[in-house]
Amino acid sequence: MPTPAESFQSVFHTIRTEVAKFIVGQEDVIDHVLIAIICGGHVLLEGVPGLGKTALVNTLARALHLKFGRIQFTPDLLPSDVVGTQILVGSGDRRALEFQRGPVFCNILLADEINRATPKTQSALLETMQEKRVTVAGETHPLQSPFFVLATQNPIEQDGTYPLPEAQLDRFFFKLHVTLPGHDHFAEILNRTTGNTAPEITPVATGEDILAMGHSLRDVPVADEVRDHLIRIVRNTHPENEKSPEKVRKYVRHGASPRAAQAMLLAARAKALLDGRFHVAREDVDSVAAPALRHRMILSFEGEADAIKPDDLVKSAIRNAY
Amino acid sequence: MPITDRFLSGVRSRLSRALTARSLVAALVAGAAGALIWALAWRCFGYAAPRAAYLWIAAVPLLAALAMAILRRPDTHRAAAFADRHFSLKDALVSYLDFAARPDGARPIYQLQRDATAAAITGKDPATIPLGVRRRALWLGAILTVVAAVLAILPHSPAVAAKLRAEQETLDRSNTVATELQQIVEELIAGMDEHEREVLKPETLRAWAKELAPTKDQRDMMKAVARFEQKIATAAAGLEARKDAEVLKLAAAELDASQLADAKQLARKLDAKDFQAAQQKLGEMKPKQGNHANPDDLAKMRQSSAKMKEIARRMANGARKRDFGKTPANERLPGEAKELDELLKDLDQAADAADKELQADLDPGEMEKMEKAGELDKDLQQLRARLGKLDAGEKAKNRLKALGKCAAKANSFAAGRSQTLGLAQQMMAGIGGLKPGTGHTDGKRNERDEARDNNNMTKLEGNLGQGESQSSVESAESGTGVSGRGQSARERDFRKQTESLVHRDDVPEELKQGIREYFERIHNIPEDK
Repeated sequence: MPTPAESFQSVFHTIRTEVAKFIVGQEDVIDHVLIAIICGGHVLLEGVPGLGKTALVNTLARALHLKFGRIQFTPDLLPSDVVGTQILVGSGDRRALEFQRGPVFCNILLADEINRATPKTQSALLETMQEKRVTVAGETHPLQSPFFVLATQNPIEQDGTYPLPEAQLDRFFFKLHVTLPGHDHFAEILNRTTGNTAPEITPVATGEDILAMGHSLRDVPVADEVRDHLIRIVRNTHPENEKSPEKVRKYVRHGASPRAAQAMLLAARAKALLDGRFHVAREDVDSVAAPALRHRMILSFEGEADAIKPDDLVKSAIRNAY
Repeated sequence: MPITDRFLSGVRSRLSRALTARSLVAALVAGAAGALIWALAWRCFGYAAPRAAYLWIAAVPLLAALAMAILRRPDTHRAAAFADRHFSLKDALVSYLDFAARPDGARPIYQLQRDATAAAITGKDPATIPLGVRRRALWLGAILTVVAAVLAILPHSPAVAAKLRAEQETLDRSNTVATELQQIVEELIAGMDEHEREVLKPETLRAWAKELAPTKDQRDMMKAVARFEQKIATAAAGLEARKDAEVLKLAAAELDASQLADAKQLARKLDAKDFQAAQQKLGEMKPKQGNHANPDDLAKMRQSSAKMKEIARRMANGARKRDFGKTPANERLPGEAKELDELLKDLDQAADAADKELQADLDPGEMEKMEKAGELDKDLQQLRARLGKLDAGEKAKNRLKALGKCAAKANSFAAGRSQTLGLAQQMMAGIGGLKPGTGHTDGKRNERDEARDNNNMTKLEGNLGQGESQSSVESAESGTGVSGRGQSARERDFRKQTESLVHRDDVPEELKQGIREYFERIHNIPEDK
């Protein structure tokens, strides 16, 4: 009988292999997206256009045999366009208002270019992400389970964008940077996408599998020393902490919340299982610190002015935790 | 014991050995460096490094290393953390220990973790953990040890060796000086009679001698001896009874001018400051009481009384030649002794009164008429007591002068100008004859050496104008003689000069001694008897 770690690894690798049929390279991004999904979290993908962010989400949805929804965020997008609205249906005397579900009623929601929508529309998604339900006209409609939001945003286009507020950023489990592929991966992308045939993606896992994986990873125990290490890292992102690195105290206005620590611990557990271990190691914690913390650290004016990268601050926080 | 626990035990043991080895190497380097610094510090000044200190320098780092190895011996948790890092076990052992201590440690997930950890450490050998001893540190310690050892066997530099020899010699000399001076002081005290002990205070002399502590510093030693010498000189000066001596000298001159043989003899004794003999002579000249009814006795009594009267008058005349600004009798403090000149004048009056009593026709039955003779006895007794005291002071002064010479010789010995001290011989000088080499024959003997007790006294004396004599007696009446005060004053000046020189620190001891010898030669101070 396979161990929980083996079952976890098996399903995880199956999904990753299926996704890798279409997505070339980006292994870290794929792994972290899968980990976030297994942990029940939402992911914010950031990268320049054309790097395959949308393709990744599409492929993932097809591989997971889950209902997929997509919203292309634009400035004129209304909250009702996201969560749904009540419309008048029927004929003659029998007319009634009926709730027309929006695109959030799915398992995997692709919020494409989320920073193009107005804050009002963004906040409509906020409740959906956190509560996993929709309330319209006083009536609450639960979303399907599992429910994940995979949002993308373009870092280079600033005109006509609305930066996500800190509260909404905190809802994202991970923020992942999609980077330019290397030369070999570039060549492979060209080979796969410019021919007559396209890779066939088949569902290899169900929503139940994802939920079961999420359940099993929570059994992975954490030693007190490792847990303390994680706490030290999170506390080191706060400028008011005396033991924080000098850079953090100088360039950070607000540090990461306890929600970041929860995300790090869950992700570290998943990492441990993927490595075939039944305990969380400090390096598991370190490896998930950057995607879990980089969007939760609010830079100060000096940090913004000096173009400080949050990833550098996270590294110094990790170093200081040992 | 589970394999994981055995592995942890092995790691812990290995870490302990590594810590001990590193500590010992550090102790070797530290001890060798310390020994080298120690040796260099001594060698810089030319000394050979004291070898006993090497033991301490080696023992302290060694003990510190052992203490560190014991106190910092890693526990199981530290061993687990180290093994996790060293064998890349990704916190497996730390988690293993943590989970084993949990109350729900029997959960399946923990068992899985234990199994996974056991599998992970299979094939891992704690013996592969490096001891962490740096070969370079080992070599450094060895080289430093060799260099320190070489420096340890080097002897003193010639200059330092000479200095140490000089210090040892100074110490030996100061020991000799202290011992011999203390011995001399004890002998001097033992030779003192009761009256001398009263004026000299033996405990004070002993205390002065005990202050001469052995030292390696020649300057200190010479200073100490000089201080001792100065105290002796000050004490001797304190014993000077200048006024009394001057009065007695004048009285002696007056007596010498007398036609009476007894008066001349007394004069010589006083002039020679032989106060004990003078005291005895006065006792002999005291008028004897006889039977007043017997004409012969009466005649003898009248003769001795007249002699006493003559002697008392002459002594009083001598005393009257000097006025020392004496304290009037009515201003004298109660119990304060009379001035000697006053005593002599009283004696003169008493002798005159007693003689008048005797010269008068006495009724043998009237005893009350002898009261004047009683007053004479009383005054004579006081004079004799004063002479006894002067005699004791003179003897004590002579002893102190002899001791002062011993101290001067000790100073010369301390300065290295003489190889032997021989204070006992110094004290014996002048006793039992003349100094070696001076010699004398009876024919050439100075007739005035009668004060020297050499059992060979021949008195050549005669009366002026009566027969031939090899000696001539030159006498003068009161007021026509030459005072001896000038010579005494010069002697005191010289003494002050030499004492002030001894006090000065900026004058080298060698120069002091040279000046001392120079003064002694040009003044040619005669040896005290």
